[in-house]
Amino acid sequence: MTENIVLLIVDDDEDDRQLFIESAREVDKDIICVTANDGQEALQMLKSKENKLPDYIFLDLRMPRFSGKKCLEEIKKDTRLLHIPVIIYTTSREVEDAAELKKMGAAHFISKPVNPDEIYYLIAAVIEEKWDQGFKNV
Amino acid sequence: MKPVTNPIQFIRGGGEMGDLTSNKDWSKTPIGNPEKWSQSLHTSLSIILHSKFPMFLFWGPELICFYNDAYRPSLGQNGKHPSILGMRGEEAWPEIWHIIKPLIDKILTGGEATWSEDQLIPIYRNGKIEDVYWTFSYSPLPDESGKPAGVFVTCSETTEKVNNIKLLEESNNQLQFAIEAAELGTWDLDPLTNKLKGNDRLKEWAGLPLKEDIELSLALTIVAEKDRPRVVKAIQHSLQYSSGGNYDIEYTIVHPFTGKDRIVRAKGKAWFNEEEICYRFNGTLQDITAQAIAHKKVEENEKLFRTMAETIPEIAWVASPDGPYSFYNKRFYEYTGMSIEQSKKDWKWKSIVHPDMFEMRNKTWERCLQTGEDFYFESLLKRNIDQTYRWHISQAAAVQNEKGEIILWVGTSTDIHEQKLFLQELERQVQERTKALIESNIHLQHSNENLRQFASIASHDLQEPLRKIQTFTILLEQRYKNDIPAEAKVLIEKIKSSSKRMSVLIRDVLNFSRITQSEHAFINTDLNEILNNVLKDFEVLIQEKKVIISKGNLPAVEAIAVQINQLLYNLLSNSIKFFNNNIQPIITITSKKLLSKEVKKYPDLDPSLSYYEIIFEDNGIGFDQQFAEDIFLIFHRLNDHQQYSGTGIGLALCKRIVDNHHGRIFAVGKENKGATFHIILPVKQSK
Repeated sequence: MTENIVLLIVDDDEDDRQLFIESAREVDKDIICVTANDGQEALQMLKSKENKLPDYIFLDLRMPRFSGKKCLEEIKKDTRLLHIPVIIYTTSREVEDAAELKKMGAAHFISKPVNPDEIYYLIAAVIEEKWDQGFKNV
Repeated sequence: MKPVTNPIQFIRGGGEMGDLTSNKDWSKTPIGNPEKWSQSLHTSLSIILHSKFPMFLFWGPELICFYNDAYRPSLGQNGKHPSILGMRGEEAWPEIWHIIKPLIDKILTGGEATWSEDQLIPIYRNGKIEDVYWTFSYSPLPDESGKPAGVFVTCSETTEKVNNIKLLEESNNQLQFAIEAAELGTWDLDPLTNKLKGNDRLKEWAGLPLKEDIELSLALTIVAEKDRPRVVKAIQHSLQYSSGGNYDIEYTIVHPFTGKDRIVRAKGKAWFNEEEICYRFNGTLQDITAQAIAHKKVEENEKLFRTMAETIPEIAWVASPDGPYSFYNKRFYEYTGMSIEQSKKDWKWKSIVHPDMFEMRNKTWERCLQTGEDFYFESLLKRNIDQTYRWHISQAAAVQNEKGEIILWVGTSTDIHEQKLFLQELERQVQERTKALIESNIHLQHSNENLRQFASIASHDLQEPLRKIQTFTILLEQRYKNDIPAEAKVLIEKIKSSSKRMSVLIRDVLNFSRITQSEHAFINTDLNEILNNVLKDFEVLIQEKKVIISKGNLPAVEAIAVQINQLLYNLLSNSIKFFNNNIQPIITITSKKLLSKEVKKYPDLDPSLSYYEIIFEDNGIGFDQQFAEDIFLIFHRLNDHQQYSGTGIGLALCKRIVDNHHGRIFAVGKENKGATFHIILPVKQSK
């Protein structure tokens, strides 16, 4: 039996977390969504040996205290974690940021869409690893 | 008569020769023993030996020789004395016998006594034949019978006198030669007669007759009038015993016929007798015209130099080739307050050059003295009047003689204090301004950066809630679409369109703030390609509004592609946006190369570069020409957004992009007749 897909959504905005979880359930009701309020909390969860490691990490950039960028940096330093695809999921549309984050090891860079339907397509694309489809939304 | 025991005892007191004559063994001589001598010989010998005048006697047929002490020096050392005493004359004087024998014979045969003066009769003495001069007299000495039996010779040697006369003549000749060689005139005045003798040269100079003596009064008329009283006074002075008789004076003589001036120096001596009366006044006259003229010229030059040195406002000086100064102008003494003595002592200017510069200045000066190169040094020199240091430029150049040797240095020190202070003040101001400029630049960079950050943060932070408004509006619509009354749907639409406009506005502000950053490189960019891409973006809209696009060939220029893309996008969107609904929209895009004279019409363009002009022309609503500049201001809108959407940033962004490319953008418009946008871009960016 295949194991359920685990997504870690790191975002300080509760609305966005909620919209994301709703869309993810629509893609697959068995998807397990784990949330973290900021980068620090996300790292604690990831470093804990008890938790199962997520299949994908969706990381907001602009968070108080511990930014998404710093979190990405820490993830890529940890040999246990660095293979997990990190999808930057942010309001920012800056192409410069995207290029830099890709260099740092981000698998993908996605601007948060206005239309909730688009979130659904995004998550679907990520799970099927159709990166190019997702990327078109940037 | 009692026989004489010592027949020549009477000779006693006859000196050395008396003794020699008495003690000689006469028996072996032709004349025999003195007992047999005649009385007249005795008498004669007695006279001769007792005389202090040189005397000699030839006696008898053998002409036996006798002489006295006074005669002896004439025989010298290592000569005939004393061997010829009692010797036959012929044996005693072989070297001159041929001269004196005839004289003797003449006397003995009854001739008159002779007198010869300064006669050269060389004799053997001092080991050799010597030229000896004599003044002598031969006279007969009779015996008892009254006939001449001997020749009595009185003589004095005059060799010294003759030699002196010879020397005198010789030195006189030499003097004459010297006078000739020195081209001297000679003069000789007899103060008693006031007659003047002169050599030919003197007379020639004076234009006087050669053969005659000259009256002193006439001679004085030759002296130039201005000098005459002085000359007369000098002569009178020299003729007084108390003056010592020396005479030395320079004056001008004027030739009475040619009027030619001759400057002469007269030197002479007055001679006085025991009564302290001058009996002779003589000397020489030297023509010093050439020297005097040369001297005068030197004096004139010197005067000229001094006048110049004293009239210039600078400190001026002359230094010797080894450094010490030989001349300073008054300005130097005024400025430094030094005395002449002090200036001679302190020729390195230690007391006036600022202590911090003295070593360096001195080194530089010494190097110049060695190499001969021009001296140049700026230094602070102390002014005496207020004891302050003032900036001076000191300069000096070497003066060389025809052999290329440095004979002196001429220099000046110019007060440049005011200029220097002015320059320093200017430099200080420039530095101050530069600093202020740098500071304001940094400030500007900071404020630019702050602005960018502000724009970025504001945009991001505004974007989030806005996005959520949009998202939740959509959700509201999606989830309750059947429950929403028609009226509420209109309100929801208004929320959606407003928030969309807000979103575009935020994006444009962000773009605008980013455009100032020139992180992008200028690369050769084909504008045709970019325009085609932009047209593709507008494909749907163009088809929808049935816009006719007419485009010519565009150039390739050095540009930032992203920004040019934005520029063309905004212009095209602007043109498409503002169309009058009743008219067929036409957009024409052309380009041309600017001629040099056209480039010059725009003062902010670089005339050394080549430029292209791209013209965007539409037949849309246009604008009033009075707003041609305002349309490029940010948030400036000419039209209400009910009818025409837009943020008012688009054209401001265009202007910024063109400015970034060092080009120029301007618009020409007429209300309801369309607008034309001109974009001028350089082909290459200046380095």
